[in-house]
Amino acid sequence: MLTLDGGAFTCGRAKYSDSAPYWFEKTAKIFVQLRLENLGQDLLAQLDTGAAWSILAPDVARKAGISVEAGDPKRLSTRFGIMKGYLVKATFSLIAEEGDPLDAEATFFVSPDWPEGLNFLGYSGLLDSIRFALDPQANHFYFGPGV
Amino acid sequence: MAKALRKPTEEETRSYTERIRELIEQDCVQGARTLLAEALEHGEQEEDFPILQSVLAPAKILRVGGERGMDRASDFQWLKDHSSEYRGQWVALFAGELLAHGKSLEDVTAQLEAHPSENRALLHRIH
Repeated sequence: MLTLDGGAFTCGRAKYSDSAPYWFEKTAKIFVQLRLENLGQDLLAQLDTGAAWSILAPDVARKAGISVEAGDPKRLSTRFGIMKGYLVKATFSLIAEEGDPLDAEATFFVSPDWPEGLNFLGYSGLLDSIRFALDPQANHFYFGPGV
Repeated sequence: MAKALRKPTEEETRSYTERIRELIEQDCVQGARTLLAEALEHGEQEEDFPILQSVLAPAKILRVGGERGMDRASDFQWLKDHSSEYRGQWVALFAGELLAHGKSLEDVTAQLEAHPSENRALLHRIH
């Protein structure tokens, strides 16, 4: 794993995909592997440091048993228009192929109007709380707990 | 001598909750966190503070360690090679093989549950 000043900088590493572009946007994106509590399979989520919030697709949230009504209402301006939804807490794991996975609880925006299957890991409240690094030559995503 | 009347500023007439919610609507998360911290430091207590504290909190690290994932290189290669054939569908992949596909996540997970496996599939919706 990566080290900084002799100490651990990250705890785990996994491959990411950069070749699952959306039909409306052909440029390469970074899709990292994610595991949600109560969902028995693994998922991909787009890493987006420019997004203020993390987003879970409505079908994914439903399948994972995440109750949106317990969340805080919010409108979010998106490329698909203004979406009404909720900010909710969800528990997830960043999957490690090498080293250790990282389990965390973070805030996600969930809207019934958001496209199905489109998950984002955004900056505030998620990426700003961990350490991460990318190796684009090997398509490796390194991650670890923040300090 | 009487003091001159001063018109209260907008910040003085609006509750912390209103101002924090406005910052959240503007996606100014750091500003909302700062204002909430200021309110709590001043001993303010408003009904929505607990939920605002919850949604504005940084991610909480619960654990480092546990079950490792498998090498997904072959699944990523499958996505590269076959995405155009399954546009608008969910796919379930394992070891570079398509295990299930369908229009909804519910449909695909039902197909997986009909053939239980110890291996976790990679689910992805191709847009």
